[in-house]
Amino acid sequence: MNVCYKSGRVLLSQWRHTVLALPSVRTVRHSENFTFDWDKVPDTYEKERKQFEEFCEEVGEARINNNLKIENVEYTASQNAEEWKHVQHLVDLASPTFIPVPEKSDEVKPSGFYYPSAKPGDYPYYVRRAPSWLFPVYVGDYAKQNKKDKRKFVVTTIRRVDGDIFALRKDLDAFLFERYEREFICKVMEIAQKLIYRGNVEKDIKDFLRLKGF
Amino acid sequence: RMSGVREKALQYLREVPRLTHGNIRNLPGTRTPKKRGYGQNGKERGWGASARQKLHFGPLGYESGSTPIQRKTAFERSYNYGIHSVRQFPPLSLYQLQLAIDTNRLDVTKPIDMAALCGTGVFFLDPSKNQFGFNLSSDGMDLFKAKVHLEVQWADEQAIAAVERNGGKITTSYYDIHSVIAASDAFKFLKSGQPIPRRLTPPGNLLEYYINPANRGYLADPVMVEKEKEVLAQKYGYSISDKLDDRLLSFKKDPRQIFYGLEPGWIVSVQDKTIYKPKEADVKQIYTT
Repeated sequence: MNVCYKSGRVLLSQWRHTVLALPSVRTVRHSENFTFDWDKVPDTYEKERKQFEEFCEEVGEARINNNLKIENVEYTASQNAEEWKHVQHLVDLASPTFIPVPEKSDEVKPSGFYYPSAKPGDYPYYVRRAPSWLFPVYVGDYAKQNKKDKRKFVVTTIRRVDGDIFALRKDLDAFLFERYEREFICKVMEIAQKLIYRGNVEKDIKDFLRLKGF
Repeated sequence: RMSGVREKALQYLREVPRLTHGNIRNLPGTRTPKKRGYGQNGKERGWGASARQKLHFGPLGYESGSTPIQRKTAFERSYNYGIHSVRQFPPLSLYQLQLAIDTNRLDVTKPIDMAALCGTGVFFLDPSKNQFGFNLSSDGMDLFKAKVHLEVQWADEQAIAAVERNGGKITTSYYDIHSVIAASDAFKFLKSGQPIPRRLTPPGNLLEYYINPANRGYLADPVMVEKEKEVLAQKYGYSISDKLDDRLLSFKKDPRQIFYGLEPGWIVSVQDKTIYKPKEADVKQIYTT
């Protein structure tokens, strides 16, 4: 069944297999599942001819009829507030909104999320949250500007570091040394406010930030 | 007064803590790019102009530059045959769900279905990539504490247990691709002015999944579903809360329904704030059966 997008009227398409033998015929598909069955395909010329003749009988004149009959379907218009509530809910979901701000409380939520408790000034540095209110720690491949360099390794980046970034690097190095008993190569980008550590140390850095309360 | 670029450069010099190789650039014109010569790029592409020069041959199977047949045809069969037509259910972990609830992106007082999940702007479905809905995975089942009324398209046993342990309700239901197109971007669909389609029944190879009460399928017998709840509770060692939540009971969806509260066949005009419903019985029948 085809529906006109603009007016919502139903276009009668008389090509389909008819189900109801009423004066105003609504055509419905034989089955709503789109399956292909090789057994139903006629394998001889006679069988195919027979199927075609049956089809012609069924459909009749409509097979050659090129005019599509646009029928007016009767409808009722309702402005019920109860029903509109459900539509409004869907409309509101799509309307542009600010990212929701989490509650300012000390509790740690079940997923491990908490509102930052540290204040700028507590430490020589401050790591701000991302706009999504999550930690600005990201893991990715190291991409060099010079494409001839074929080295590939994974790096962890901490972004949005205010204050003395070298102090944070020192603290992080000590924290990681305590855990892994080895040093990690780190690139300090003071102006870009980020630290890039070689290796996937995302979990450890997030633990460090949690300890500090960022 | 100096020009903008100079002013910016001098201001940069004032602000920057130190000058390194990364800050300084050569004066324009001092570094010239390396010029490529001829040779391989010349007229004969390195294969010589005269008979004497053409005594060098290419490798075996060389076809004067076009990709040789022994390179074009693969030795191995295709391991991805039919990958474009396979039905996908991208995973949605319990941890992600809990995080969305904790950061106030999802409203727990309302039912969470595909439209609600895609409406957060954090979970995405792309029907053009054959993605038929969300697959609730059990990653984060130990920390899942929310009480939700959830409707997903696939769920594994432990994820179901995690949701029901907290007193929530979970059902798995099938959305055919046109229903997914409607539900994944509900506002876009409503703006298009199409009548809300009816959800089709699952195809043969998925029907078994959605009839099974162990999967909390929407086509399963509700009595069997309750039994399976008890079985699962015993298996994982928690108790189901006896008090029935009225709020959760009121959120019901017909197997043919895509959106809560809106029936198939209705046309929604967002601009006029009206809903057009068909009057005739046989039109209604097509949408509701």
